[in-house]
Amino acid sequence: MSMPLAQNGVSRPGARDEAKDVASLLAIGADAKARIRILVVDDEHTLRESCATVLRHEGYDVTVCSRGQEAHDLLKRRGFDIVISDL
Amino acid sequence: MTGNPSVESSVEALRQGAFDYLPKPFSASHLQVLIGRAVHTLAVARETREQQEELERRHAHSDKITLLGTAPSFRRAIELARKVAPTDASVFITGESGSGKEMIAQFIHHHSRRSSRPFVAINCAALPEGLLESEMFGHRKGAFTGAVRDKPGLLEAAHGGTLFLDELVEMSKPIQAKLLRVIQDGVVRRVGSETNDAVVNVRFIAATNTDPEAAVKAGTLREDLYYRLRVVPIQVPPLRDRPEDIPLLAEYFLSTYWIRHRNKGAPFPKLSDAAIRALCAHNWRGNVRELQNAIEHVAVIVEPGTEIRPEDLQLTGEGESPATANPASLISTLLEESYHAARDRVIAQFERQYLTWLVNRAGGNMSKAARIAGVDRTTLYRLMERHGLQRSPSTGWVIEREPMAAEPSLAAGEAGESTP
Repeated sequence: MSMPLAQNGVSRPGARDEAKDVASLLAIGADAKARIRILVVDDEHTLRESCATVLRHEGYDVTVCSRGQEAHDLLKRRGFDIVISDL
Repeated sequence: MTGNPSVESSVEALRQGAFDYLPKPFSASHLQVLIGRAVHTLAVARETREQQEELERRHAHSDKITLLGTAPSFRRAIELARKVAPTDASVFITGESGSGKEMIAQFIHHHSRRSSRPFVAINCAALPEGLLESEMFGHRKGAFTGAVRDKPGLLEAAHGGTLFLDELVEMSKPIQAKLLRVIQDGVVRRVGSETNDAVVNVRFIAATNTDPEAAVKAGTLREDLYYRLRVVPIQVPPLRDRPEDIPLLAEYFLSTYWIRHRNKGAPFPKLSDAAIRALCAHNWRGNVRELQNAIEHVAVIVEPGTEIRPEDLQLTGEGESPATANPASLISTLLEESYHAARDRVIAQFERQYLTWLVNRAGGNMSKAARIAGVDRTTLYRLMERHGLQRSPSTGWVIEREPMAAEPSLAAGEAGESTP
């Protein structure tokens, strides 16, 4: 159904450069990023963890979970600025 | 994220309030850009909220955009605009020329989290293809003759704010493809550039005065672009379908233009009842913009303190109702007249419009028209006679034997006398 995120970078030469290019264009301060809380919800371990890795590397505050109910409980307990979830 | 990206499910996700969607598989940079744009939106929203709180503290906050109208169809459009404003969903506005599409777009922007950022409007029909492309996307130095320095486009100018794309269906297919990439990835590549020049976070509002679905079918509008922009469709009704708003708008424009064009303290003129009736009966093909221009004209020429007569309004092209005329839109409010006079006027007006619509609908076939109306053919002829209507010998369509008579004779027509 889906391709693990990490393999994407490897299989496509130049993707890493593109990512760097894009990150510099966005120019969001590191301190601002550290204050952004992101919740990643996906039942697929590889995808979930690769998303988290990429976003943590960017400096965001990332939490992961695998199920909708768990996400629901997390959202009730603390606020998140962004939720990335499977449809 | 979705492993099974279909247009419907994606549009549905955006409609439900998702910021964006990410079809699997996606690259790390795609994820980074998307999150970056979301973060930027959050930052802009916070900044806007702080500014508005500051403004409210100074009591300077007021609605900058006035949308006048009480007609249910118009209120529905405004309510939808108000509901969608604080989200980031793309809006697609349809409506006739002059009906107020850009006003609705500005209203949405001013009530959004982006109101402290720019509202940028582009008319896709006004510029030739090459110019539209460099205006929108910007260009690199040397991209074409005359490109003497790097120039950011309007997409970059609208960063953090709203971009209004008027007459979207006039945009060429190659530019549509380029635009779709910006909407999906937020990445702008200027004309003549080999790299991504900017990542933009823009809310899109598109508009057209034609049928976008027909443009999609005809192949002039990309379907994927249309669905991406049509997360929330808003339809602005034409002015003739909301005649009850005409007096309100006319009075508003009159006082606005009187203050703008005339000497301070000059006594206001007043719209006579006859003038208001003439305004309500007019077809307004140019919609609110036409009304606005007509009233501005009056405000410039009329004597201070007088009553404005119908002939001062210089309304032209009166009377010919198109075959699609809606017979339901006749009652205009705010006229100070007696119950009987109002009833007679509205009935006479209704009969004229209904008959015109009916006979045109039946293609000039009077038997068919009588069947649709559920009356005798002779009754039909008598009604038409009473209102001075006849079928055109060549086309079979209803024409008027003489220009529409002035208002008083409308009431007289109801009294059962045939107009000469």
